[in-house]
Amino acid sequence: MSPLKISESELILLLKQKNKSAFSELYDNYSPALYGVILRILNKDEEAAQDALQDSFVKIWKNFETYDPGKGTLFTWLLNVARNTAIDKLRTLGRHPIQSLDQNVNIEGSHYSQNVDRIGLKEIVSKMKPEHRTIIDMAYFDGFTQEEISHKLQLPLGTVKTRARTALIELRKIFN
Amino acid sequence: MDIKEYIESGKLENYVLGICTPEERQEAECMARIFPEVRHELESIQASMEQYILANKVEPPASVKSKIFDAIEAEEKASSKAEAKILSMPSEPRAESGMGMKLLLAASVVLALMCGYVAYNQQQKNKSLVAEINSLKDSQQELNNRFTKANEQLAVISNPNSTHIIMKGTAVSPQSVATIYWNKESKDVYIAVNSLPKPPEDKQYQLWGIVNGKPVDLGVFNILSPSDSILQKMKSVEGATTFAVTLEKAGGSSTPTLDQMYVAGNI
Repeated sequence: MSPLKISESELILLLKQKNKSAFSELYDNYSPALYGVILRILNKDEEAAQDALQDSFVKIWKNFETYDPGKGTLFTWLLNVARNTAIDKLRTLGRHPIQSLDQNVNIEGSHYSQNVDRIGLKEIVSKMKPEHRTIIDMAYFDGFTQEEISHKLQLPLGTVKTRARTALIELRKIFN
Repeated sequence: MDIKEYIESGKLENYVLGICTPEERQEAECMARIFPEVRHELESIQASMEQYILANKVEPPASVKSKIFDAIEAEEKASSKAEAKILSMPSEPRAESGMGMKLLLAASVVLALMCGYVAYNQQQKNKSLVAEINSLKDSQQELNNRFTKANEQLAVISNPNSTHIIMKGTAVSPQSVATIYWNKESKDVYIAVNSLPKPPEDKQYQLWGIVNGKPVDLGVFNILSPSDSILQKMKSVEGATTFAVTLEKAGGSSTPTLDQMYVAGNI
């Protein structure tokens, strides 16, 4: 993300007052991150992803008063809106994540690793264990539930939970 | 579950990854609200996930931004028309917002109750942990006491000045045995009851030392439970040639009841 021209709390205040130039700045600052998430969820379908990005930002504009800084960061809130919008879009397209995964995925995430094309991500991927990345990607980007992940990877439910923790601990180490 | 256990359970990671059940989500939000450590952990997990997401960023085509601004402007026009309509019917929106407020209030009451429940559970858990710790402290204290006593008794027994006198059972109670540890230097007398029948409630055993042919009262004693000390300190004596135990009225007698002599032993 590029640094904001104004502070985040000022931006939030202006957005609550429906300030359009603040919204423009919010878009410039966060749209690449949100678009990246949406593209991943929609399996690189760019047309659907652009629609979902547009829907997300319209929702953000309309519902900004519901954002409560006390509950979490602005980024987390924006990500939740984008992620939910993209998952809804996926469902309306009749492509439930399970189906798309059945067709594309060999267990333990080979397909995830093949699609890596950006340097930052490549570095992370090379440092992470594939099974850890798979669990993060399946959960966050594919919108699978714990049960679905457990079923797909043929792992006990408890292992899914603990592996999610290990994976995020690994991620934390990489970024620190 | 304690805080550490909760943090290590993976539930917060599952929350951040969006793969928890509604109950787990509720729990995570409540826990983060109640416990600063949980909140800190959650923020740290979110921060690393956000870094990962940023590594996945893709610049969207410029056309999307203008479409969004067109959409929100269209939205604004539509809503200002709607507002104009609403202004002409002032009673309806008030009723609606009243309903909205009620719902909001109801939702916050539910949230408060749920958080209260999580906090209550945690508190109950804490209470039972405190109770457990206290009972462990008590039993540790008891073990310490017993260890100290055992060491003291060992010191009495292993003292080179200590004389051991085994008092064997008499005709009254042939199976009975008791041992005297007598330090002739300090004159301290200890008795260990190896085997004596439990006395009736109104009676007590009394130890005597025979000095110059005369019985000297060395005090009464009880039969202790095995967890107590084995040795009991009696009155000190000098120049005893025989030790004997008789069964007397509770509190002891001034002279021994000789037909109630249970054990006796000579130096």
